[in-house]
Amino acid sequence: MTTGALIYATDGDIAYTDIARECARRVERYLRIPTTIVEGNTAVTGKRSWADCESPVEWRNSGRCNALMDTPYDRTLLLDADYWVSSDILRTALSSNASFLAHNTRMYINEREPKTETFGTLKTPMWWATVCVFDRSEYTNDVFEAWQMIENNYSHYANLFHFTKKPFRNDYALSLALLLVNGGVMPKECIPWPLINVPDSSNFEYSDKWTLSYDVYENKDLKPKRITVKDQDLHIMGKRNLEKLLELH
Amino acid sequence: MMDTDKLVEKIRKRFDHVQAKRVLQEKYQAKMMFAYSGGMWCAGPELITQCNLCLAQGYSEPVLTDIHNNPVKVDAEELKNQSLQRWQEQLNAWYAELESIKRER
Repeated sequence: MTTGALIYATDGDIAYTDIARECARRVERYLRIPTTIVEGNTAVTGKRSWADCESPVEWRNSGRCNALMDTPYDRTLLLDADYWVSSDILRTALSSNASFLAHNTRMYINEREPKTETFGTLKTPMWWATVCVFDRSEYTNDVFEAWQMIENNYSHYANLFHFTKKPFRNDYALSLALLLVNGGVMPKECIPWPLINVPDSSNFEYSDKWTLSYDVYENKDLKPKRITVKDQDLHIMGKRNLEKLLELH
Repeated sequence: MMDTDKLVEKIRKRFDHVQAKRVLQEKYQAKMMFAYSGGMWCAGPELITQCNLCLAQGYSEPVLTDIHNNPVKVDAEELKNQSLQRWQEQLNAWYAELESIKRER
């Protein structure tokens, strides 16, 4: 059985292919599996505002639903290029027999505890498309077929589940696909630890460990704080932060 | 030459010990997870006790439910050893890292 990672990257306002190459290097170093980088669809699916940018950034993130077709591996780790691998923790998910795994909890580095995010006015629970592990089972095939159908009819599902049509969010499409193929209930199998997010409002420095800075309210005053983390996988958000990643190597 | 502006900025950003401890906890709780016999398990006293109970009653290859509630046939001795080893390794690493961040200012 072959195991490997698949990373989608499309250049636009952010040089994602460069970030993907760095991501691939880290996957090979920490997880010791081969990586395939796929150039994603160049269609602009909307604009996204980041706290660290004055103007919204063009968003090109469609086509991720083709991952099952695009992967050359039997068991695949589908990663967003902005997921910074710094440990071998994902080997646990790759070694399990679960057909499809993704995060359904997240914790921002300045938050008290992990949470399940919801989207839309119906507060549908969100599964993150940032990291997915899947095999070639019938169940996985159903998930990707549903993901593709939802992407192709995104406006319809946005109306149905009361969320904004733009920008297109793979997290929403994946969440609805999982809901659909599980008969209206969310699956129990997930990556059993939270996705650790570095928000676009925070800043970081990197040497042998990460120094993450952020502002928190303390007695009604906004105070700058920092923490350090080491050997910790991180999901880096924000254009400026992503550009900084490229300067690291 | 020392950049005093940078130094002042660094001093102002106080180290957030409470938050660093929280993030560390998430990191090591995640590291307690491991795959065995196709299932996913959380290393710790509960799993070790389950394995010990099975072994004490003569069930060397019991069926146990993993963290996703899937029944998995396991070798109780091997699962216990893996769980014990991971639990202690990660607790030691957690302890060492916590001690090192306690010194941060």
